[in-house]
Amino acid sequence: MKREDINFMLQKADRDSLRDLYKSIKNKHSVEILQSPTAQTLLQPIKDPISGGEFYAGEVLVTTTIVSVGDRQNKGWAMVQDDEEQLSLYVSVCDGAFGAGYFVDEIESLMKQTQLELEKHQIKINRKINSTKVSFDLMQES
Amino acid sequence: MGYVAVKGGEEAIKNSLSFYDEEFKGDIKPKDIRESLSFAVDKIMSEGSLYSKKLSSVAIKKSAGDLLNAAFFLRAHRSSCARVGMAKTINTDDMRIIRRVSSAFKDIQGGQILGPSNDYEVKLILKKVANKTIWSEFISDDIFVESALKPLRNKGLIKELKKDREIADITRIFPNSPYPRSAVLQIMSRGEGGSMLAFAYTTMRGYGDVHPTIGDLRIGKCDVKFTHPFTSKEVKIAEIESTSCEAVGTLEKQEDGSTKLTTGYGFCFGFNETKAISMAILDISLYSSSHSIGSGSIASDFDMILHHIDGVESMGFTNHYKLPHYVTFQSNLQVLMNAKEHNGGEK
Repeated sequence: MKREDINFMLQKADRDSLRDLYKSIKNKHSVEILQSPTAQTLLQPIKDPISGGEFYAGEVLVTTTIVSVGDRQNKGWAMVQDDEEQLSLYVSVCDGAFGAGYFVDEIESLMKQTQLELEKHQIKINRKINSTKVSFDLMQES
Repeated sequence: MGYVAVKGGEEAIKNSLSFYDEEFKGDIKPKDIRESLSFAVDKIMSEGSLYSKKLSSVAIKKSAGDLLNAAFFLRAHRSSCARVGMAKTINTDDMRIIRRVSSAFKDIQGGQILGPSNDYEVKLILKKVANKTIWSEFISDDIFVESALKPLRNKGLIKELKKDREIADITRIFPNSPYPRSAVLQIMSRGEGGSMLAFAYTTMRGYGDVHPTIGDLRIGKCDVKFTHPFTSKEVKIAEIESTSCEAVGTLEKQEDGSTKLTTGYGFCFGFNETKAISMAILDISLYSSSHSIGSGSIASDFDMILHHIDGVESMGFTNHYKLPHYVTFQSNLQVLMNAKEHNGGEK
């Protein structure tokens, strides 16, 4: 598991487990909020297959948080989807802790557990999607 | 004659808002809207130009299901949020497919996938007998496939358009004609689905000559990626549901003498395929010269399309007429009365 996987994976983690992990980190290391969870937007470019250029389809709402964990140099960041202040705070603290080498095993464990759940869910969805594959027969003129 | 503002009425306005809140309160929760009225939620995200299922469902609740109004709420919220930056470009060839059909090719790489659709349902309000499909009998493979038109594009059979040097952003500067292609696509991507459908429909019914074939229509999930500020590495932020459509028009003679197929592209947030198809048809109509009707059709006029498909703008302008226009109207009435008097008391 890499630090870059934290941001998405932990958004999908069981919320109670994530909150417990956040509390454990906070109880052991000082957490300073450098940027409170803030709703912001990300402009989303899309590739135009006809010109090979790009265009903006709109913006994606995200909630961004910056914290320091332990030492002020150990900064953590999260940019989570939608308007989700608590979630953004929890993920940023895990990101900062992971970067500083704190609670690495616990964070990785939650990520692995989440990944397994996501994979299980994806398999279920994929079976449904694949069940709808179709090849229509052309009707012959009699 | 300009608009003359009015003042006062605060008490009545306050009471009217309270009345509205009480009358249209209902018990439905935004979460229920999100989970059960997915297409409405997606329509609002697309037209509000902000991907947020959570706020889109809140907007639908606040507007009591008036979807034009809901898009207005979401668009207004968007303008109140700071823009933190730009995500990495999405290429819909990388979409995790949920539904994908092509009416141009019977056998395509990856296959025709109906996905969750009621296209083939008899449209009668009847009680349904649950179909007990055993999902475990089917394979669980992921589906990532490139556009069905890619092979034709690679062979140089499809007309290419000129790429913009810079991507226009109509939320900052609305361009003048000639409109950059990126601005045209951005305007259509957040356009109102019904308006776009109506204009697209004109091209099929005698006011244009587009008879499109759907080359590749896909709905699915795309990754939103951004750079981690402390590691400078790419990070996945979100998965967004989206729809894209490549429609094929007709044959067109090019400046170099070759003949190519014309195509149009549509993309929008959410599962929103009628809008994506309409956008692709309008794209063909705008950028490809017509053969039977000529270039004068309604939907081949950039100004006509780009200034009339925004739901928030057109609803706002239309609804402003119900605000007090007493002075404007009285002035018109006075002109009429004066003219009659001038004509010797014409009845």
